[in-house]
Amino acid sequence: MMTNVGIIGCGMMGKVHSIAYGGLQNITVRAVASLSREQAEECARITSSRTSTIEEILADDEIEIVSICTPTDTHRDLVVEAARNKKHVFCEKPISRTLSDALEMVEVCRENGVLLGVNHVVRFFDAYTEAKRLIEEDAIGEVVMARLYRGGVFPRHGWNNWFDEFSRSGGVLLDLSIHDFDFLRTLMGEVESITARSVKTTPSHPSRNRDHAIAVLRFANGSLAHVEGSWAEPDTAPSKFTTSFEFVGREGMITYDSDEDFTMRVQTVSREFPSFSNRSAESGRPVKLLEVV
Amino acid sequence: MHGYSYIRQIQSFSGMSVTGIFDHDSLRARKTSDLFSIEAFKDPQELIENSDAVVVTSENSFHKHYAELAMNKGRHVLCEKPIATTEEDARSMLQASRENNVVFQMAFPVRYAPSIQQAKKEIQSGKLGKILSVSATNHGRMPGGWFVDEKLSGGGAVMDHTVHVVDIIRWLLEAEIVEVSAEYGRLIYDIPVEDCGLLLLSLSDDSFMSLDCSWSRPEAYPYWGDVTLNLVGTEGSLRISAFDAKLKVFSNKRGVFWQNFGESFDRALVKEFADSVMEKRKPLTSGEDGLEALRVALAAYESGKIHEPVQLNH
Repeated sequence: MMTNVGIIGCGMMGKVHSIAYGGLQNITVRAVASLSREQAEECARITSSRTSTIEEILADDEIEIVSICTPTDTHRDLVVEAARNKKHVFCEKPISRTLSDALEMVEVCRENGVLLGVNHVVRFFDAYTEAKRLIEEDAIGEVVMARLYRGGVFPRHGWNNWFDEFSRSGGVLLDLSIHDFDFLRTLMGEVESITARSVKTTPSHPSRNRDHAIAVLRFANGSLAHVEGSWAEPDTAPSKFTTSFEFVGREGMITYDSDEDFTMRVQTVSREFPSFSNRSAESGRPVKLLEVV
Repeated sequence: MHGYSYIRQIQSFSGMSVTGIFDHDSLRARKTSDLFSIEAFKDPQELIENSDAVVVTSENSFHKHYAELAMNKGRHVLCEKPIATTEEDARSMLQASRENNVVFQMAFPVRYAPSIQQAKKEIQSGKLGKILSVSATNHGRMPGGWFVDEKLSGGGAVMDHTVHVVDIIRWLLEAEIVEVSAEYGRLIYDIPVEDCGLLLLSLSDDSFMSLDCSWSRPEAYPYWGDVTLNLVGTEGSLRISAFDAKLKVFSNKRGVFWQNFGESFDRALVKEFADSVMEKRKPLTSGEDGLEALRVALAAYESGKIHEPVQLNH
């Protein structure tokens, strides 16, 4: 039996969802919607579907699942509306711009008996799942300390540069470091306290497109974590995006650095430097939600 | 622990020699004496009287005692970090150095690292713009011995590993630490002091900084630890891994380990001490720097106790 999907938002993540659904059995993307005609047409082409509107997608009885890939501050209205139309929702992270929005979304989805999945993709990245598996096998003893970095150049792909608007994206801690907060919760349980600093602009150096943050977390079990998120590297940086982690257990340590995990790298006279590392999570993510559906 | 290195470095300079050693632990004294074929004195006063300058590498809580013994005899002092275990002791040592008009240098070897010296130039050139954020680590293995005896060490990982990086950053950014928040605990080992710590600091130039000072490198790690910095400025970023000049060795006989081939930071540190004495000037890493770094470590303990940020006046 085929399950029909609608995709709302055809920016970078909408495109990622479009490609990912194409790799799944028994799934058809039926329609895509976006404020950008060009990007909508691109996703429609990838999914062999058609461009549509949000209203049409939500009203379409054939569509069971809606992917929400729009800017963060729009998630609440779209998810609530989709849930009321009895659609299961696969929502991009972060779930919403504010905590009250998130609580409302969870509640409305529950009331309407639909599933709400949030795309915390890092849980499915190979390096992270492998580290978690080793930790669960007790390879390094109980994890008591963690250090995670995620950052690079400022994301330029956002519609009207919405990543730079704190009221829309919530900045680098909410949009980017949330991956690490989420993964840490799966490993170390609930966070008890958090101390953090962040900087976007300074009085002496006002600037758009900069955001850098550091957070220190203490978990209920007493363990500690350091999380650093950055959209502050210069656009010319050779490494546009990097993640690293270090998990310290009572009997050992596991470390990872994405700058060191390339399985292929090309250097040519052109200014393009394609590289490849063995990440295959893109097609795996929606599967979990679909298995539940 | 660092004493051996200083002996080797001093002996390597043609104009310097080691008069002798003193250790209140006679076993340690004999061992060192045998290893380097140098005299172990029974009385620290006698050693001091026979020397032009003194290197204090005792347990932290005895730094004041030995440093002041030497200073009050007009001898110059190179003191291992941290300067002391209390602010009162540190201020007393500074007072003694001023009254006796002697050079009082802190052993903050990392400031002499080529990477740190070059970073200073890069920052001064202005190419990074204004520095906004620093995340730093000074990881190590759990040292054991007197380092885990609070009466002798003044504390665990926070006392041991806060001062190096605080000293580097104060110098690189020409700013003081004005607020300290800290989380630390005895998370890995069953020892009487904390083995892990994370500090979050506010600086007088409105930048902020985190510091991981944990003894979190496991026995299985191929190296003792690290000093790393990630500086983010308005115009760029700068990363340092000060001990990363290394070979990775995979030996069936000796196991897996990293062999550092970088220049010894201690050599430049000892040379600065000798130069400061000859030129009668303040050394690059002064006793005052030692005091400021200690105040941050003590503020971190205070913050951890009251679960609030602690302000530092300047």
